[in-house]
Amino acid sequence: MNVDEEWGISGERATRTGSFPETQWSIVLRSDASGDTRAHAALESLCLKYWYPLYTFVRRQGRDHHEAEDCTQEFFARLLSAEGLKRARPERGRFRSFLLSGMRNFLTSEWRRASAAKRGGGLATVPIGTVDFDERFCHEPRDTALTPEQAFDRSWALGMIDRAVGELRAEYVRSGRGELFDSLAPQIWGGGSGGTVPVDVLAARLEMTAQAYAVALHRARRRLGDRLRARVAETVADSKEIDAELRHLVAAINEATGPA
Amino acid sequence: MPPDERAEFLRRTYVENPGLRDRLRQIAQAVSSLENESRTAPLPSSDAERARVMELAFTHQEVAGASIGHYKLIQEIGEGGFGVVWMAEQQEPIRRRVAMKVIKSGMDSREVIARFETERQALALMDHPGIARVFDAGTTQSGRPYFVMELVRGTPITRYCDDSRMPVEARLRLFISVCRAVQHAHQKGIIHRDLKPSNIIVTQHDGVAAAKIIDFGIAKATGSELRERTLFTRFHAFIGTPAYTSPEQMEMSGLDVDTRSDIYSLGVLLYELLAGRPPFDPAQLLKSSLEEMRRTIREDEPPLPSQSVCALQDGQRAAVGAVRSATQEALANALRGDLDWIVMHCLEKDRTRRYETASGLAADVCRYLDNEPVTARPASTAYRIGKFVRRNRLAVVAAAAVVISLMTGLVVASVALVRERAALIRESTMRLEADANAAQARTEAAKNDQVARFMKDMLSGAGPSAALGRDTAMLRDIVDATARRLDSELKDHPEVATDLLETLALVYRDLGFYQEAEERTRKVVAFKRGRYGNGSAELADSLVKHGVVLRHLNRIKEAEAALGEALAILRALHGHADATVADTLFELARLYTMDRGPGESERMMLEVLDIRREEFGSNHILVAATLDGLGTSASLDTRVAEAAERYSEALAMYRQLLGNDHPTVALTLYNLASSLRNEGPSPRATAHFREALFIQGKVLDPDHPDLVVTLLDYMADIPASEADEETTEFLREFVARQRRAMPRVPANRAPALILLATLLDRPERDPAGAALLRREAEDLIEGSLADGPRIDLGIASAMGRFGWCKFLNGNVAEGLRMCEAGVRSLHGGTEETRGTLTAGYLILGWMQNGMGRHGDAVASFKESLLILRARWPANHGLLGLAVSGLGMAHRLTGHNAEAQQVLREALDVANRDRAPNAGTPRWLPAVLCELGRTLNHESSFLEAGECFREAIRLQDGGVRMWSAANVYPRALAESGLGVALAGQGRFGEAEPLLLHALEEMRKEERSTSGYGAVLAIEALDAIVAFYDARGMPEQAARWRSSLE
Repeated sequence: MNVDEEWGISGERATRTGSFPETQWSIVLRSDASGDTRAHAALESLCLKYWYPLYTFVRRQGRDHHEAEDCTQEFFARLLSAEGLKRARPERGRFRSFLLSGMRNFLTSEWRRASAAKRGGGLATVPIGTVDFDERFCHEPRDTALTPEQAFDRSWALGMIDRAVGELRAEYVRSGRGELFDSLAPQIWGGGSGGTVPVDVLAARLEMTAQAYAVALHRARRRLGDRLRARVAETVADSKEIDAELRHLVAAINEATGPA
Repeated sequence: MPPDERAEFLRRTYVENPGLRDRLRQIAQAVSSLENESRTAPLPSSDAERARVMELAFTHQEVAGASIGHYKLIQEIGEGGFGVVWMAEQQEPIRRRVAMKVIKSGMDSREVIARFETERQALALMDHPGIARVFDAGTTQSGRPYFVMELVRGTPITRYCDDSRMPVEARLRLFISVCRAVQHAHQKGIIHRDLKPSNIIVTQHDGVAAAKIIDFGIAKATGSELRERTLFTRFHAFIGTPAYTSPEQMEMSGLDVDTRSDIYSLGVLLYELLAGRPPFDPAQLLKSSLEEMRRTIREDEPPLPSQSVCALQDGQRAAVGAVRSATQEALANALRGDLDWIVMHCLEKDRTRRYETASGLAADVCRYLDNEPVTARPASTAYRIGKFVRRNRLAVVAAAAVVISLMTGLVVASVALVRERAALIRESTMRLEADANAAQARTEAAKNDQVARFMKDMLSGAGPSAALGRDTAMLRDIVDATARRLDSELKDHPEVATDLLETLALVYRDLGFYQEAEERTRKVVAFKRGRYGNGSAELADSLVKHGVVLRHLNRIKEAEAALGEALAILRALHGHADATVADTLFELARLYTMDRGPGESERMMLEVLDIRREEFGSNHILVAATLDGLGTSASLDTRVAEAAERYSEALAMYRQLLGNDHPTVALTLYNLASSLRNEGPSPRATAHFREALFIQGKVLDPDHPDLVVTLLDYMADIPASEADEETTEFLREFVARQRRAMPRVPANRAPALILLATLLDRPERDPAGAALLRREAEDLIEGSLADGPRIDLGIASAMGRFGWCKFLNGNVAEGLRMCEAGVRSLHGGTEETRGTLTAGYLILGWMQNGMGRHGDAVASFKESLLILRARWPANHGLLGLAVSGLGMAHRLTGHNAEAQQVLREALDVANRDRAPNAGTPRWLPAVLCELGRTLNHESSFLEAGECFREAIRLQDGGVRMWSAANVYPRALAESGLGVALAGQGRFGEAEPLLLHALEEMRKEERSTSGYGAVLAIEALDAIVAFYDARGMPEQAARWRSSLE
């Protein structure tokens, strides 16, 4: 199969050419009309990707699963309402910080009111199957040294990575090469010692030559990098910020590993 | 909840708000499906893996065909932690192919470029065939910095060498060329900072391999190891090559990286070229956290290259050998010694100890190739000598201390130990600091800027090394420099100068440089005598210090005079019950313990104890030290029960005051055990040795002489045949621990190797391995004789003692090997070592006697006596042992006349030189017995009888050489007397004596001593001869049969 051809359909190439494409977040930021449906859709698509980091942030504030779930949902509901969109302004910077500061405000002011109202018989929220979130949250290694903000950033970074990997795998699966991806994956992030099985054995299992396998690995690494970059690009307003945001996320990962 | 239920729930809940309901439902579905999608994918599971994925987003931003500045990207040719390397074509001003390195990081590219600009001129100055040029730098459209360099096509050096199966010598020559290139850059002021195999590319020109270093100046420009260690660069470290990073770069402390960091990296390179892997396993490093990685590189001592080769598994080892065109054994042998030293000299953690320059390193490798001695060896090991002398001063010290430490293993008077050993360096420097502060205060009052500056200079040098508590070499240098300046710069400030002089003297003393110390204490005494007068406290204080230094120098008479004068002054000033009086008395008592035996020193110690208890209460470290000293006195006087009590009291106090895991606690345990062992091997002694060993194992590094000494004494009472798996494992682990570190003094490692070899040397274990270990031990000893640092005297003594114990326990062969190694390792030593050597020869002689090698024994005893007579008073205890041993050896080689001569001489000396109030020499019975046997041998039965009677009388009166494991037990004298009486025809008296003696000896034989068996045979012989002579063939036959 022709890899380059396939490369074309991945649709990520635009980020490599220098001119910065419209991203979901830049669309949101540029919209000034509350009825801008494109901006709305962009915001909505962004929000649902960052459910869990926000949920983590709220949990880290000491709230239980149900309240965190309600609170996060309510926050998004308001954000996605007509007024919510107006809050997104270029000066608010990256999507990540926008969400975080928004949630902080929400928690200190509106949520208190909202939960009071609910006790009086207000709306119940939609349970969206996030019981899993509770489980996941409870199973994460709990580094008590992390502030809720750091936990949010970390969760954000992890989500970003997992999503990029997930998407890339889906792409490989679509082209009938899921098996290849699953074989390559540990090599991609294994730091040169991806596993105990030698590369030529791995290649042989897929009926490939070691050289072809190496090329495939190189391409997969490239693409994963691009994917990730694209995901990050989505959340910043300007291409100049991508590296800075990436560095911030790297730091968020390392923070949990040990102090500088 | 299942999707159906959820939909139903949503419908009911949001029936009144369809818009919101729909949207939230969408969200719910989307979130779930997103989660499901990622769940099926394999995901990175650790932060290190995630960081590596993140890393990918920084790389691969350019595509082939794109133009950057004047350069057109042609093809990606490499990728690493920094970014991607492209082959590019320069368009103008000239058309050429270049390598373009695009840095992946989003670091501040303006700063990178600015830094590059400052380096550009220097980089342009570099013109060396071994260095790839760096042409240009700039930023890509998206703001990434890039560098343009000479395009080098080839293979990383390590791979090239392996691929072409290059033998060690060729590798070294290639390495030398790399060093020369690095030297060229260093001379231009450029440090590479990131030397590693992938930056050293080898190409072939006309079949000759030529190495070229790339990336000079890049690391500095990108600031990847500089002070601004942002979180980003932490991440960078994960994917970099920590295995090649020097400890100071790893520290990221802002300490300026200099050329010596490159030397370190060159050392790692050489290590890998030789041993097939870098000193620290890169895979292991990458797996560990950054903190752990730093700790490893900063603190862990890698194995020597030769050991690293040996440690490889068989397959790997063969492969590593094969690509070097050598067998694995030949390879390990080639590396062992000089190459090990060269590599380890580069890898010193403290950069001041590495090679100064790359050309120095290259020159040393050349010297190795030319079979000349390398500098790494003596230069970097000289400092270790001072270290080991210092550590073992007490075992080294005065003449008689050798007897004590050798024969009983006691560590004398451990207070000084507490203070002098435990926090030695730190204390020295604190003292330096305190004195300097005091002096500084004084000089400030005098507004003397020069002096103040002097102090500051001195301390700024001493501070850091001392704070680390590890760097005595550096301290010595600083102290020497200070000493020189002191003489020249402080001429006009005699008081300040004297204070400093005294401090310096103490530092020298603590470092074990007694000669230097004495020069200064002597000056101080003279100055204070002139300045403060004869009866002043100042003078007394300096006299005490002078006396202690003199004692270290074994100048006993002078030491006694100095301490005596100090004592008189202090008593006149403060009366008798004063703390300074007690300190002085204590030092004097220590002197006497060594010089005059326990009696007098014990009385002084008791006085010290009273004063100190009065002064400090009954629970004080100085009180504990005094008790320990008293324990030693009692122990030397064979009052074992009392000694045990004293030691136990001291021990309890130490444990309470210092905690359990403290070297002093271990030493006191050791003393207690040694004292108990004088009664013969006992489970209690073994248990105490064991605990001491356990503590020292925790608090001391495995090369610490104290630890090795305890190990030897502990093992001395465990017959090799009874050593269990656990002990063998313990020793294996101990040897392995030693091997993990660079040896301070290689010869010090010989005993553990010999011990392990003895345990393994059984058919069902590993006799071949044992032979290898023995050879290794021999090599270590021979190496130390050639030019290395000498074996630790405490250890050598313990080796002799080990032999002695084995001898007494009847495992003569086992002991002989250790003792021979000990004696061998002391050959050609200094004056200080000769005392230990004497004792070593002496023990050797006895063992040779025990094995029937009487000819060798004669030689050993003569060697021993030669030194003894030159050094010690003629009535010294060792002399008696040596003389009686020599007498026996002479007699058994048929030289009765010689035997009598030496024995009679010894007796004369004992009678003539005995001080009026001194007790009977403890060795007298031994010499008397031996003389008696000689006389029996030539039928002078009357005189022989006198000798034996006297020997019995003395022993009954308490004069005994050894309290339990008696070489000359009373029974031996009885047996001899029996023979003498029979010779005189007094059969009636002879018979019961002979039979009783045999019975006693057989008891002895059963309990401990193989030597007892030898003696018993002699006694039996005597009985057989007796009945033969009496014409009683039946009895003779009966005894003869039991003889067989």
